[in-house]
Amino acid sequence: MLEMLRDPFFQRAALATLLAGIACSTVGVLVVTMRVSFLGVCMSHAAFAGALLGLVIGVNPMCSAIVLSLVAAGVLGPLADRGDFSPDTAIGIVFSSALGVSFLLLSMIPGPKTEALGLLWGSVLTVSSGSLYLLAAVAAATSLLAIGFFKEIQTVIFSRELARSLGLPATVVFYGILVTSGLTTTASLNAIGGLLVFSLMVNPAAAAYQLTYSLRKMFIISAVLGIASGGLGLLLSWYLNLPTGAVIIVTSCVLFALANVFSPKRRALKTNVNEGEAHEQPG
Amino acid sequence: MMGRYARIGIFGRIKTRDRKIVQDSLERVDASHLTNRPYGQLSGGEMQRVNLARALAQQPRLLLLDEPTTFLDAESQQTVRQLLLSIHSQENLTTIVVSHDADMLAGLCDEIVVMRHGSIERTMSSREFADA
Repeated sequence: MLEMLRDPFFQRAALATLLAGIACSTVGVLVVTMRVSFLGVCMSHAAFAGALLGLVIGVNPMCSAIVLSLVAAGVLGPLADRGDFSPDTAIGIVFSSALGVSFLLLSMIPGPKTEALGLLWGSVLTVSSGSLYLLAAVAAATSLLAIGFFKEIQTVIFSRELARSLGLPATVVFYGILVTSGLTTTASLNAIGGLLVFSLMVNPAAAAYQLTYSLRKMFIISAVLGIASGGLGLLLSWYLNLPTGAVIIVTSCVLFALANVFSPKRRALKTNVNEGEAHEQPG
Repeated sequence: MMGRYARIGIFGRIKTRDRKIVQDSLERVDASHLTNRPYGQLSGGEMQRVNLARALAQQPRLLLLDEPTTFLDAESQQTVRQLLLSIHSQENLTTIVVSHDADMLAGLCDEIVVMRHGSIERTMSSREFADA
């Protein structure tokens, strides 16, 4: 165990999963409570398309991934704000566009596509210093934004209409959530991978949602579960010699299942239903 | 606490005074017992009480209510009507209610403005409205 902890590869991987756990689970609370969980998939594919574009035109894939995820956020916001269809439809349109562009760019990369596919699956054990700094910056920024703008975020999650009527910058907060979601998925691309980042975003937040009604506590529980998923997943993958990203995601799924089983909300709902049925029993 | 957010400002923090105003607002609409209940689990009538408390927590000079009794059962409609009457009389707070419920308006308002296609058609007292 001590030998493993002294290994520089393990240390970097542990730091990367810790930071990705914090950043993804914080953004996850926003997308889960706003009922736009698919936003994570959409953003990760936009970031993936951006990274592939970087590989094709020969610029840093992380820079082009950030640019394209910001473009996706910029398109999603106004589309979702249009009254004639739901935010889910807007997310679906941007997601399918990003997917199409990704496959197109993938076919344009000459030779072996190892680097491109690496972005899809992620490789936490070979994460670069630059990616670690980016993850650290995004994890710090998302946490600070969640703390600093807690009441604005809480009101927008409850009702954007109410937030507007209270004079709060509802649109700025909504666009901020989109941009933060794009930056978080981009920063996690190298470590966790474009496909798996969505699970690390949604599962800890959805598990936290099962355990509390308080948004404040939800942020804390989600971050703890995100870090636990990353830490446990990394340890298990190290011992069992399995792909780290995949084990992290399976761990987060197991934690969600446990939260679902022990959810006080679920028990309360069951009690209410049983009481309702008891009242309906004939005299 | 959302009712106080407009007064607190973007970087402002909730203070003891804000908590007291919120508690007072909840007491004024007889909703103190709902403080720790999730909003989504409240009944229609309880939700309207909390909505009213949130509006009062802003310490408004004018109360604007849009269809305050829509989708409520008869008992909850009566409760909300009584609440509005007591708020109006105790606080001396000018209240404008938009509603299609003619019976509720007749028992609640001093003056009634009938609108059709966005224009004022007639202005009358509640007695005239009841007789009409």
